[in-house]
Parts: sequence; C-alpha cells; structure tokens
Amino acid sequence: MLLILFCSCEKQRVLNVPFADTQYVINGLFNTNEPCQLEISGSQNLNDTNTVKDVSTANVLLFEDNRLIERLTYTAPTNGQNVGTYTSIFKAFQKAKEYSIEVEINGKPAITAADIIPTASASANNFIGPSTADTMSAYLNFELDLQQSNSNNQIQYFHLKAQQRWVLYSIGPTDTTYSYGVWFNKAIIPEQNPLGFITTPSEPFALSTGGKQDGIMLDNQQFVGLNKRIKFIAKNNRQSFPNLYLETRLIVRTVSANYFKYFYSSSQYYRTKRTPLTEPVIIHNNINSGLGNFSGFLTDTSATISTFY
Amino acid sequence: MKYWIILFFIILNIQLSAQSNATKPISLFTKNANLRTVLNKLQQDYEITFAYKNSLIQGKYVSVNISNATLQQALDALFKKTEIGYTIKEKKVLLFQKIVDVQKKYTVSGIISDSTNGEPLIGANIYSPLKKVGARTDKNGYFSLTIPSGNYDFSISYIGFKRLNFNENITASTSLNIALKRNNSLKGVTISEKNNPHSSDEIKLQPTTINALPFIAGEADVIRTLQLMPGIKSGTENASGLFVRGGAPEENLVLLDGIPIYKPTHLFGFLSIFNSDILNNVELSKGGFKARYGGRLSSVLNINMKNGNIKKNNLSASINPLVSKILLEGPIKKNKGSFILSYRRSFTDLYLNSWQLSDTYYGSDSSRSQFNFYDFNAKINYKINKNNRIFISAYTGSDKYNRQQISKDSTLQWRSVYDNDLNYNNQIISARWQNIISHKMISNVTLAYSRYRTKTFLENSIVYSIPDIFQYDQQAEINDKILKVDLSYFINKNNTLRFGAEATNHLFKPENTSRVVTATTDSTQSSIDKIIGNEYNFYVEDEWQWKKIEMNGGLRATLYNVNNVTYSSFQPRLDIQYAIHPKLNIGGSYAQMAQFLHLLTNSNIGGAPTDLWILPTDNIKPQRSRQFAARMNYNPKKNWSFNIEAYHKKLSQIIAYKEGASLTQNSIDAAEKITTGSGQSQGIECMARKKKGKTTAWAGYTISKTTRQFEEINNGIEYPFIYDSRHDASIALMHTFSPRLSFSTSWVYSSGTPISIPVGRYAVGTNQGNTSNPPRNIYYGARNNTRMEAYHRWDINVNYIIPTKWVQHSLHLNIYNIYNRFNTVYISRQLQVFDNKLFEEYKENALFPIIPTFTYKILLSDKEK
Repeated sequence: MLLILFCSCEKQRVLNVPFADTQYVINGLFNTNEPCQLEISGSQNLNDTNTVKDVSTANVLLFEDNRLIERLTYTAPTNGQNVGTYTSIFKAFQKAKEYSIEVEINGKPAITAADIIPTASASANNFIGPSTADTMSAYLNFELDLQQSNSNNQIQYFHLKAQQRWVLYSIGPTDTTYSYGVWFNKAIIPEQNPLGFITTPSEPFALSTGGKQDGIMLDNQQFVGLNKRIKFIAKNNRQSFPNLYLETRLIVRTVSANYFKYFYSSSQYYRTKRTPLTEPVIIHNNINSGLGNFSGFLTDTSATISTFY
Repeated sequence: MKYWIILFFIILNIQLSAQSNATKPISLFTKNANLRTVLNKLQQDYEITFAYKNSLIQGKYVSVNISNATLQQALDALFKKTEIGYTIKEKKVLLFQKIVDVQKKYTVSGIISDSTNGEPLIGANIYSPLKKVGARTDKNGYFSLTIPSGNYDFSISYIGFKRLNFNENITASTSLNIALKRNNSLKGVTISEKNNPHSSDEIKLQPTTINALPFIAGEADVIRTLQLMPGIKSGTENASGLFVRGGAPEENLVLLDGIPIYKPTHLFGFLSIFNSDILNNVELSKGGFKARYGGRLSSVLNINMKNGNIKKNNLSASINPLVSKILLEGPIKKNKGSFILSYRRSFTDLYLNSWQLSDTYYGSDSSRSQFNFYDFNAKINYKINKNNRIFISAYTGSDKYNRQQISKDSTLQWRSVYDNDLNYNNQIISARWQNIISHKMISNVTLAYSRYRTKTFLENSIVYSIPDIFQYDQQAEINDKILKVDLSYFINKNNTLRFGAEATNHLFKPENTSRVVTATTDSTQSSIDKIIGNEYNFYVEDEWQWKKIEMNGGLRATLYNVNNVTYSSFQPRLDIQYAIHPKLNIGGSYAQMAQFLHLLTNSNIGGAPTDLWILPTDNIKPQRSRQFAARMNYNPKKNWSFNIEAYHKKLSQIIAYKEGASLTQNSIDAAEKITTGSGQSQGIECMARKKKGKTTAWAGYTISKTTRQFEEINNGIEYPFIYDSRHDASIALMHTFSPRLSFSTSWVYSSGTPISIPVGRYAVGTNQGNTSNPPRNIYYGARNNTRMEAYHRWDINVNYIIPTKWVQHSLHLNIYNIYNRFNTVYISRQLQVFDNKLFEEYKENALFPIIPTFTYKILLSDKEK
C-alpha cells in the first residue's frame, strides 16, 4: 500500500497559464532624415502559431512637443509581409524635441508613447577592412573606432548597422566603368562574442531578434576617452565573377535609451530562449497600455571600404 | 535574651550529664537530612553534647558521608556548607553563627546536566528566590554566578526536568556540577521559546517538541517544526530550508556544533540534514542577533548535537517508508567521556526504480525519478580533568537525484530526452577544547574543516528533422578551514562579557562544461576556476541587566581578503527590553549584518544543487542588511503567552542572475552573469501559545511583504521576491493522553509563491514580420508576474509507546496532507512539437498527496555502568 502511494507520488497537471488579453503592439522608429514608420499588430497566446495579426484600422496621431503634426497613413502589407505600415509625411524630426504618438483602435482607450532623438551624435573613424579577399574566404574582418561626440559621463547608446553592395567594374582603354549593385543590410557579429558570453550593455553584442542579426549595439560605459575600438565579422557568400569588388559601409546610429533597452532585452531573450534554466527576460516596453517600442535615433554614415576578389 | 541563656544552661546541663570522656571514631552517612536530627543522632551514638540556639539550625538540611573520622573532621564536614561555627571542649560542642564578610563576593560556577545521560542542559536556570539572583547555562551547560557570600536557597530548573532545591552557604568560590532528573510525570510536551520568556526574536526548540510533530512518514524534522513559527515561511514543499523574514535560504547561518553548514537540507529542502535523534538543543534567532554570530543576513540557526550517554549504552533503530535510522551511544569511560553515532538513509531509490509510461496525444512519455540520501553523525567527548574537556564532531551526508523523461512520436519521428542528475554532499569535522579558566571565565577553542560539493548534469535534447542537443556538466566545491576562539567572562550576576576571534580560509573551485549540438555545429566549452578568500572576525558582546531592563549589545568586525582586495565591515548589534509589568514587556532590536559569501540561485529552481556559492571579488561586494524590530509580549497566565512583533529589514549589494543568464552557460567570468541590487522585507508576526499541560498548542500568523530591486532585472522596477508570502499561518496542537499515548496535529497555510510565467507573445522590430513564422518575443508583463495557488496542508500524528524492562517499542501513525491537497512543488516547461512546430507547455508538479505511514522504533538500553 505504502509503496504504491510513493510510486504514484509525483502528479502533474498542465498549468493554466494566465494568458493576458490581447494587447496592441507598436513597433515604431523615427530619426532626423526619414518619415516615421509604425507597425501595429496584436499580441497572441503563448502557443498560438498563427501569423502575426495586422491592425489596419488604427487612428495614429503624431505630436511634436505635444503639438499635433499629422495623422499617419496606413499602407497594407506587401508581398511576404504580414503587417502593414503607418507612415508620416513629416520627416523633419529634430534633436532634443519630444515626439509622441496617440493610437486609437476601435474606440478603445488611446495607446500612447513618447521619445526623443538623442542630442549627441557619434561617428565611425579609422574604419579598416580587407582590401582583398580570397573567393574561398567566407568571413571578412573589419574594425573601427566608434567615437562619441562628448561624454560628460552621460550614458549614450549606439547601434551599428553594416551595409554592402557589389560593384562590377570593367577597365577600358581610356576609362574604367562601374556598375553598382543595391546597398543591402548585412548581419555582423562582434569578434569579442564567444559562444556563451553573457552580453552586457557596455560590450558590443549582436542584435538578434528572431534569428535575424542586424547590427551591433553597445553603450559608452567602457569607452576609452571618446573612443571604443570595435572589431566585427561579416560573412559573405563567395563570388566567382571576375572584376568584382565589395563595398562595405557602416551606419552609426546614436539611439535613445528606449531604443537600446528594447533591442537589448529582445536580443537577450532570443539568445537564451532555448537554453534550459534561463532567467526570464522582461522585454523593455515604452508603450503605455500596449507593448513594443517607439523610439528615436540619429544617423551617421562611415566611409566605404572596398574588398576586391 | 535571658530566656535563651537559661535555656542554654538547661540544655547544657542535661547534655553534659549524658556524656562520658571517651570519643570513638565517628561514621555518619546522611543525605539532605534535617540538621537537628543529625545532631541528635551524633549525641546518642557518640555521646557528644551540642549546645546551640534553635534558630541557628532551624530549617537546615545537610548531606555528609564520613567514616572513622575524628570529632573535628566530622564537624567540619557537617557544617562545611553552612554558616555554623563551633568550639569543642572535651565532648562538648558549642555551636554559633559564623561572622562572615557579607560584602565579599564569590563565584559559583559549574555544569548542569541530565542525570540519565550526562548531556549538558543548555539554558537551564539556577536561581535563588530569596536573594533574587540567578544565571542561565550556556551552550556547554556551564553557568557562572558572582554573588556576595551567604546562605543561598538555590532552585535549579529546566523544562522537562524535576526542579532541584538546595541550600548552599557560599563562603568561597565554588564549583557545583549538578545533574537534574527527568520529569516523567504526565505533563505533556512543553513549548519553550528561549528561557527568557519575553523575547520572541529567538526561538528555542527542544527535541521533545520536534519529535512530537513528525513531519512526514513519521520523520521528525527540525526545520519543518521551525516553519510552524511566525516569521518563518511555511509554504511550498520544495521550500529549501528556512525563509526567515523574507530572507533567502543562503541568508541563514546554520551551525552544527558551531560549524557552518552550506546545504542544511536533503531532497531539495524537503527534509533537513539534522537527524532529530541526535539533537540536543536548537535555537533560531530571527533578529536582534548577538555579536558572536555573523556572516549571514537573515537568521542564525544554532544546533547542538548530543554528546552521547555518559552513563550507559543505548541502541535505537527505527524504520518508516522514507528512511531507516540507527543510533548508538554510550560511555567511553563512565562520567569521563562518551560517544554517539547515528546513521540515516532513505529507501526511496529501492522502489522508485521503474519507468512510468503514459500515452500522449502525440505518442508516448516514459519517465523515471530516483532519489536517495544518507547522513552520518559522530561525536565523542572526553573530560580530561575538572576544567578541561575535548569534543570531536563529524558529519557527512549526501543527496542524489536523477530524473529522466523520454517523449517520442512514432508518426512524426521525433524524440525528446530530458536527463538530469543532481548530487551534493556536506562534510564537516571539528575539534573543540573547552577550558574553564576560572570560576568567572570559560574558553572554547575550535578547529574545523567543512566541505560542500555539488555535481550537476543536464541533458535537454530533441531530435526531429535536425538534432538539437544540449548537455551541461557542473561541479563546484567550497572548502573552509576554520580556527576560532570564544571566551565568556562572567563579570557579575548582572553582566556577562563575551568576546572572541575567528579566522576562516575559503577555497572555492567551480568547474563546468557545456556541449551544444545542432545540425551544423558540435561545440564543447569548459572552464575551471579556483578562488581563495580569507575571512577574519572579531566580536565583543555584553549581556547586561539592570532593574527592569535587559540588554544585549555588541560589535562585530570583519575583514575579508580575496584577490588582493580587502573588505571590512563593522556591525553593531543591540537588543533591549523593558518589563512594564510582570506580565507585560516591550522590546526592540537593531542589527547590522554582513555576508561575504553569495549564493547565486536560479529563479526557476531555487534550492537545487545548481545554486552556486560565489566569493566576493573586486566586482562583487559583500552583501549587507539592517534590521529593526519592535515587540510586545503579554503573559496573562503562567501557561499562556501572546507575542506581537514588527520588523523592517533592508538588504543591499545582494546579487542575482541577470535576465537571460543561465547557470548552464559558460562564461569568461561568473560576474558577467550577475547583477547587484537591493531588497527589503517588512511584516508583523503574532503568536499565541499554551505552553504547559497535557494539551499544548500554538497558533501563529504573519503578514509580510518582501521585494527585490535590480537595475538589470524587470526594467529596474521593484518586484515581489520569490519567497514573498503575504499571509502565513500555522496551528500546532499536542495532547498527551497517557505516558504511552500521545497525539499531535498541525495545519499550515501560505500565500502562493510568486513565479514568472509568460502570458503571451508578440512581434518585435519594424518590418520584420515578413515570413510565415515571424520573430516574436514572449512577454511576462513583469518578473514574478503571477503566483502559484496557496499552499496549505493538515497533518496528524498518533504515537504509542510500549515500554518493557530493557526495550522500548514505539509505534507512530502519521497522516500527511490529510485532505490530499495538490500543492505545487515546481513548474516545469517542456518543449513539444505540434504541426511540425515547436511549442512549449507549462506543467505544475506535486510530489506528495495524502500519505499515511507507520513507523516502528525500538530502543535498547544497557544497564547503567
């Protein structure tokens, strides 16, 4: 009798996960050069494997220092996309001003968010990379000095994105002609990121959101003076065409705290979500009455590096 | 006066007439006999004439054992402990009151012990009701009382023992070694909370209370009994040890014979490592800490093992479905030294060996859990001479756990494997030299070695279209070498000074290896580390009493050196109370504590061997706490008491895993996984007790709130700590029907434990929702965003004892969780494949439904040697 009781000791029942009601999710960025773009979707239950639900009926208002600028226009998703885009015509976003949105969906209480564009900018200097590469080499190593404009012991946040394009050239008797490909975003990984490395906000970490690696992020807490030397790797497919070279440039974004914390926590989640016994990651959220991110950034573009094959 | 003179001559005349001149050798044996009777006997047997005032001998009792003594020797022995002087003229003896210097003070000191086995009685009272002076015995059973010379009516008392009253004439510093007899009358279990009944900061448990409340399968457990007290969280079956006033288990200083134990629990906290058969004394301090204790933030649990029966051999054995135990004790040399050995082992691995099979909608599950533990205690003590004694204690214990689960789907051809091995063991050995330097001073010098080791293996793999294998192996070891000196100086009856020093060398050796296999990679990483830290502690503490005020104040200073970084800490302590009325008193305490060792705990499985002790480094600073408490105690009747106490505790520089950190991840430096923050806890504790009689009981209730705040967790927002419990309640009742039959029952309630459970998922990033399987974050809302269901449980126990001449049999019926409450132990997350996609399912796991058990125990006693 006792043995039977003990053998049947362990009981299991499926946890009735307290799923929250569907919340509206806003992903929106703005900077000084481009119109503001927002995606609005709905959250789903934990194991809901359906595609993301687009929200197309929102009334999205954009404010500058609490002054209404315009109502954003919705564009339906194009091929391969699940979520449409709300876009502003206004694109003269200015540093240090607060931009906010007010989103009303189906008469429900407004969802709001606000952020500013950082005032201090940054640049990539001494950008070096391979001038030649073997077609058998899949990895290209680059390095640069990330320079902040001033420190004043204030925390600044950066997001480095790499873009590349292929350039086909032909050398004629009198001149050389170039045929430029289209710039495309390139996933890059910081060199100092071995497997298992616990990323900290102050060391370069690869932005990872759902398998897509899109840039490197860090804050300025480990800078030496105004600079931080950063090494990174880009992986390229081999190209066997003759007279071809690769141009690489960096987009340096000085981003707001909301921008950084959102992508940092998202990266932490994606990096560890399959690792057993991982501490839960609470993803940063600056949307009132909703989820997601609405944040601003400044952009600087580096010189290009040409790598010949 | 003239009547006395006349009377004197009458008596003298009568007595002189009865005498002869011859004096033969005197032999006399009396025990606690009336002095007048003794004098009469001497007069009759030896023709000695005594002259005295009646008041001089009235109410006096003497004990004497002399043979073939001269008259002077006999009188010296007879009046040795009295204020009576004498003169002899031939065979005439005139008795008179000695003139003594009442201002001169002497020290009475000694050890109070149990007459049946010689165990020292810790916290026994020696008190003179007429002179209103007294003292309590310390952890060695030692007391020291400095008092003016004179005749004292001492009364010695200890719960569960017969009160001993005797007169003692103090004319010089004296040693009194006293053995108290057990009280075997039908009075039931007596509940005690410190000898000073006013304080509720300190809980004292006797083995009788612990054994009266067996926890499960007839197995009594000291920590489970303590969890029935207010301020100590009682909920959750995997509650690893003690959660005192919102503190984590690693914040408790657990001492076994004065040596710290790193992991005081078996079965992930289900049982303590302390075999209840070898306990002599248990004290738990929740606040108002004494300066002699340090190194932890939240509590001090001081457990003393028995020394072993110094008079006769005993062998006891018991068996129940959970464990079997055996204990052997006896004298090495009667009244000089003794030993005690005990061994306990679980049975569970013998019958939890089979696979449990179950069908699922996708295929089948097969799982197996195995666990077992053992512990072994040994202690010997030897009295070298009346002032020197040595003690050698040893403990070793180990836990092993394995869980395997294989899920497979024959249709979709996938197979998942979960394999988890957890092992840990504690070992300590210590040698203590106790030296009574003088009547006023006692010292203890201790040399000890302590080792705690853990080993963890984890495999979590799923193979479907591609392999996805994860394996992790972690070993960690912490070794301590300890040398400490403790001195007690009994300045006077109202003032005791304690001081001492301690040096500890910590050696910490973590090793881990992880292997990840995917479709394209097979990588293995390893790391081995070794850190040495040296800790030095000094303390001074004064226990002081003045009229209605009692105070214990002190200062503890610590230096800690690791990797060429030195940390220091000064920790003032104060506990003070004031008796407003004999039945009502108030008190308060303040304590600063510093903890130089951190325990890094995974919030998913706190209390597991995977928890990692971390030494402070230049980046990780020692953690600190400050606690204020205020209390009021009301004792309306002798057997009843009511306590209420409020506390506020602040912690700083505590550590936790960062969000996204995993114990299974190798790291260049463990510090990278860690974030530093603060915490606080506040609450109100209430308790009502009936302390004596056939029926004893208590009821406790605590309302509390415990939070943590880390910059890198929960977006920097304060959140409920995993051990936060808003409401805790407990009721315990014990009734003795007869010396053979007794009954006890207990009920506990605790608010649900906070946990982090994802509540949904959503798209992340702009313009990235462009595939059929878009990237998504899961979201919790906040850390510890939900709570498990409340924990409650009702247990009953019936004990029946069958004594015979040399053997005592006892039967114990225990029903655990009588109303079969599903109390969640842990939440597990399991990956499943559905529609060719991975998804996750969360399951609640409960281990203990209603469990009735019988325990049989046999005690064999040798004749007293």
